[in-house]
Amino acid sequence: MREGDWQLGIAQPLYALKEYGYTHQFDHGAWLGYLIFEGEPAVVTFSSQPDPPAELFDALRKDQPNASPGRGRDIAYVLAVFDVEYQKNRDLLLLSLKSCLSKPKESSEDDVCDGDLLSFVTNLYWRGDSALLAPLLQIAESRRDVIDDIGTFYADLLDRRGVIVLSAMGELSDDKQHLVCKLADADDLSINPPNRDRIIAFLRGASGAAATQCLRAFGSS
Amino acid sequence: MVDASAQSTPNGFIAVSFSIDGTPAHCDGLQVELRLNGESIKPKLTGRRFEVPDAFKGPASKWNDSQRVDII
Repeated sequence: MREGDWQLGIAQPLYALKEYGYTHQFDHGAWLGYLIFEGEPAVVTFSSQPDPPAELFDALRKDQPNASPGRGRDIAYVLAVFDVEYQKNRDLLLLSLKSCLSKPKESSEDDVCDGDLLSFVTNLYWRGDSALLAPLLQIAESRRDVIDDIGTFYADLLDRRGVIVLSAMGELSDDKQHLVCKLADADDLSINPPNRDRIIAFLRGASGAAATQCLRAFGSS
Repeated sequence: MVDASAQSTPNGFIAVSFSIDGTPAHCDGLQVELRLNGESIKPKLTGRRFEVPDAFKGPASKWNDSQRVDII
């Protein structure tokens, strides 16, 4: 590729999330279209694409029962995105996440408990699975081996769904509320002053223990 | 949608390739449509490259930061 060249393409859910990380454009749709402009700096744009090929469903479903734990996890995510046996596959992912967090910190690395797993579950939340919010808040802790940058997700939540997340945080202990916002600040907001200022302004206008804990976590109480 | 000044090309053509999950793939009938200021522009495709439409020729300095192009 030379400077000025264009690279058009399509990415399956797995490749999209692993290669490009979280993008708002993949909050819906089954595929991610991408357009890369080579240059300095390169520019990458995305667009959500509907309707995955039906033959892919069957191949993945056949592979799933005999797949390795890591591959099985990946297939569960793709099938959930394709809305194939959604409940079963999202439950499998959530169960894996909880299982990973219950392992001792010094456990040997495997191909299930890594940052991709959290990305899969948070992506399903942004895709509309609101019931995942409570467990995603409950798992707030500093297990970098499993939930590498969960603070980025919390920061995004506070920015995009402030009222909803504060309400959901009402079910958490004060310490956990504080931790959610501490992680949001450490992983994202501390290096993103405009978002941080916007969220602090929102929190000051909100009421409740969660907002108070967040302001304390940001050092703005 | 991209910044209108983000791209320029020295020879009047832009090479386009297609990939699936990052792996180069063949694609028949590749089409590119651009929209600038509400006007639809379909560049002429020749093989794996297309001719830069006249509207986009000229120095990058002629564009301001707020101008955008939709790529469809």
